[in-house]
Amino acid sequence: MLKRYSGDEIIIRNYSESDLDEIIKLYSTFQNLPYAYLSKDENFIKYYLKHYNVNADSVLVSVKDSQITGFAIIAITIEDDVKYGNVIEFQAIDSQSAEKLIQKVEEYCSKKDVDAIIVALPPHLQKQKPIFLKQWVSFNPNIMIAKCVSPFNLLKQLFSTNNKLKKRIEGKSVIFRIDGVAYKVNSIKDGVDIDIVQLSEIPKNKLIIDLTSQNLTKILFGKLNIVLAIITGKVKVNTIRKIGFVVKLLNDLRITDAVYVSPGDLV
Amino acid sequence: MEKEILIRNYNHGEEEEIVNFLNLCYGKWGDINKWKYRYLSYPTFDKDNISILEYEGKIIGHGGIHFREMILPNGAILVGLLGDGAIHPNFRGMKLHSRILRHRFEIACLKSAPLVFGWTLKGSDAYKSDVRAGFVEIKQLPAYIKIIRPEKVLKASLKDFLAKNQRVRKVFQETDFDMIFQFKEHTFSIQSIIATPKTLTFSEKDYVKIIYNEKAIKHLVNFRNMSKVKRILSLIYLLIFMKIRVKIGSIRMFFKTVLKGWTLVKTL
Repeated sequence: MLKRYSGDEIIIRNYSESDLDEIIKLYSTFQNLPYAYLSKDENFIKYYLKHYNVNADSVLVSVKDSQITGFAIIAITIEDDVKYGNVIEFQAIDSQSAEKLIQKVEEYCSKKDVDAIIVALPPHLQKQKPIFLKQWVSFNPNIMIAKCVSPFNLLKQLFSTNNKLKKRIEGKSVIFRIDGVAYKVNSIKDGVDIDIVQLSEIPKNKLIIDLTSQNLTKILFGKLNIVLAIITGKVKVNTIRKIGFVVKLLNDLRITDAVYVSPGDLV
Repeated sequence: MEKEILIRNYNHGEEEEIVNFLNLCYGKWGDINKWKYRYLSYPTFDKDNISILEYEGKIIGHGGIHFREMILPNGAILVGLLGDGAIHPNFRGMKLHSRILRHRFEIACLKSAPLVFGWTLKGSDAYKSDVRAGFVEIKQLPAYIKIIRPEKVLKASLKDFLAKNQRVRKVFQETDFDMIFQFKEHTFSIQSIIATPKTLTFSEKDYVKIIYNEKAIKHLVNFRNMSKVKRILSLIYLLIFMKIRVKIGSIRMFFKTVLKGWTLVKTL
């Protein structure tokens, strides 16, 4: 028997297996947002549900007009004698559903006598701190760090998936010199071709953008101002005539300003 | 000796040994169920995702990496997520952390994942080592915490901070007075959360008491992941606006606090 909690219009009830398909559809609300996030397909939702501290009554769904509008998976964990109500996955299509779900999460955690509750709201609800989280504190338990381990694969994947970049490079060829290794990005008929080339083979009139993989990572995540990086020599360009193009190209390389990670994604 | 240390992938049947090893390195890491969930149940798990350092048949190092697609505003990219990096306490300072990290970078390259991500405590020893290895800090959308029992959360947070910052920990270990934190009727002392036995003895009046209120929690809970400048500014703000009050046991203690306080600020 499923427990039902009544709201004004939105009903919060416990999750049942038949809800899975509708829950997966909720993730389409992430689209067209300026943030990066880890993919969450059926396998990952099932994975979160298998968490060793998740029980049948700790997975809640919000329903409005017979449609699922949100869900929350709560795992009660104990770390250093502190009992956390860890919302390892949370999704809601609107702030009303999110608010109702948070209320029920608080009720559930209160019954479990937790010392603190942690939740990461989905990106579309994070434009500003929601009023229903007035008593909550914004925090990150740890900071996120990134490193580029393969500039070749990075350029290959970025230039093959980002249409803006493809268009920018159309009919042109650019050399990226990253950590001393030269990568030739060449526009071809079906897209972009990338090759590792010897510096001695590069004709003198070719555009060369010289930078470290660390600075490339900073550019990807909006941590480095392109113009300032060129002025300060963090990014070196062999010809001043093409500076405008380089600034635009490097700006297009920026993938996001922030990454959304839910507590369940932390490994 | 370093040459005799083998680096290899995980083998089936080693689960219990790995869990015992992680508990030795992290204190209370968790049990076999946690490990199985984190690794065996992970949708993209492969046994190459766990790197092991072995010396004379025993595990002395561990590092995990998971592969997952990251959805970008313009496309998608395969990324590696690093976790559970640990080196046996007797083998630390031998650059084994870098070795196991490089091994995971190689695995990422083989799987065509150009970017790897990790999570660490700002300013910690691991953070400094990761920055040296070429990692850069990136912005993550914030999580939210509702603190029901501030005294417990702050104590755990401070314990973790001291465990991961050996220099700050050393300053506290060498002090001949205690620092007591008080929230309402709840108190805990720094010396009680430093695990190593205290050889120095001090009198009842040798203490500095920090009394904090609800309004200070917001700053204190984020203290761990602030930059050095932000930490100092935050402490100044809390003191000026009376969110925390400092009570000193004696006049002698006042001078001691000033001297040690300066050393502490330098290590923050």
